[in-house]
Amino acid sequence: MRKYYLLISCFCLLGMQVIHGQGVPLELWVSSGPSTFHNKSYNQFAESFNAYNANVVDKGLNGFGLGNVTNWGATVSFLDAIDDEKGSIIDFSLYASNQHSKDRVSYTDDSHRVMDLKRHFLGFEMGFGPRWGRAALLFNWGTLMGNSILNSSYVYADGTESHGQEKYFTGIFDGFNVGGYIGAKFTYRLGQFKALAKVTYGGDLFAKFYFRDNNMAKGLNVTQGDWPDELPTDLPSYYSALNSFNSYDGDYLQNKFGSLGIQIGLAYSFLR
Amino acid sequence: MKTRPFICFAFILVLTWGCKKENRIRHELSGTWEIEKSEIITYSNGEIVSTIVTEDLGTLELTDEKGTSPEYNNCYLGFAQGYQPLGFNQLNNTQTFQTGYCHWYGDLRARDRVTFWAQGGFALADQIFVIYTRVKNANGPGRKEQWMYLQLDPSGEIATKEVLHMKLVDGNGSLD
Repeated sequence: MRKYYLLISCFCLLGMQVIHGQGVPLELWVSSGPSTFHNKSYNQFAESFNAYNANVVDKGLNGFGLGNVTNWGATVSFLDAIDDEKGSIIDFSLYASNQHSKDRVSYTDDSHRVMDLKRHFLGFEMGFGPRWGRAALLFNWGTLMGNSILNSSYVYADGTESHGQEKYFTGIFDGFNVGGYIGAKFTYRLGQFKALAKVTYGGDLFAKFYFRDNNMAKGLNVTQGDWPDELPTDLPSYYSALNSFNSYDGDYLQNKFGSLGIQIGLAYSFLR
Repeated sequence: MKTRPFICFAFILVLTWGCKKENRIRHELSGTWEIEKSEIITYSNGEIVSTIVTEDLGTLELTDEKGTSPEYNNCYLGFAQGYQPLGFNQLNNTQTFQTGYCHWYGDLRARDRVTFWAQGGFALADQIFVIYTRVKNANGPGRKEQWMYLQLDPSGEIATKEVLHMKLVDGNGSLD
């Protein structure tokens, strides 16, 4: 999949260079801010996990809640210029997005499990909106595609952090998805710099894209017990199936998130 | 200001970002690792009962055999006489200790584990896995890491913790 990212990125960057060569301003920018990470499937897993382990759980899994997002990329900005005229802007952006959130369950024996979520995306965005001299307000929409990594580790009471095979739900699970979003971006130019603030709302498109631990030890580890390569969202059914040597009919954790985020950032414009 | 260098820089960043991380992890782990020290920490009811430290315990040579599936990289055992890491006890029922090697692999997208495995069990039909947690990550030849393996008691508490203090003495593990 990364080969496709590279191919698309190369075309986009070359396209940007050509467009910039025609006199269109080019911006390099970085932005960061909080975002929600809502995953219905994960919430089902968390609820089932907390209920199943109720007698040993001190503080249960809550869902991923708020996390942070950092984006950086390049934008070609048509009709933009350093003047105080009114006008409108159309822009196209290519960027990388790194997203991070955490959840945690604490046990009564002072140990805990950390569910560390990292998402790495390549994004394309288009925006359109009016400009009043230095200020502009763009309405934008975009698409993201990339991988999520859910790193589930166990921390024992003495602080020993393990990614080993001794606990059922420890693992490094990953999955791919494609998402879309809409949003608004306010920019204010200060010379060749631009301050920007963004609001975005969106979600992943495909429901049946699952988190999976690709370690070969999972599922094949006959002599050391069954160590799932995906996270079941219905633990009682899963354990029941395991103990009776039947297949588990429930669902697994999906890599499908919805988000609402705000960001602030800074851009530098190359004008010709 | 000229934009071409910046665009080239962005291009390189995107290329770097797009490179397959699993290859980088495999490359940084491959090579000859010296087992400088082993700590075996024994617990009872969550409390440390004893710590046994032994030093100069031989080597593990992790090869990066390009062209084969990453899971089939070889791990050649060069343990000191009479020594065997705790985690490798699980590989006792395999041919590992007769042939002097097993297999190893890192992870696709994270640097937290290194897995060793071999065929074992009845008629060598099962695959036996041993997963070490990489406690400390580092980069470059001469680097040091700690690899940790846990055994639990029936109540799920730590019974024994093994920490191997590893030092990469030869980073050229490639056989291509």
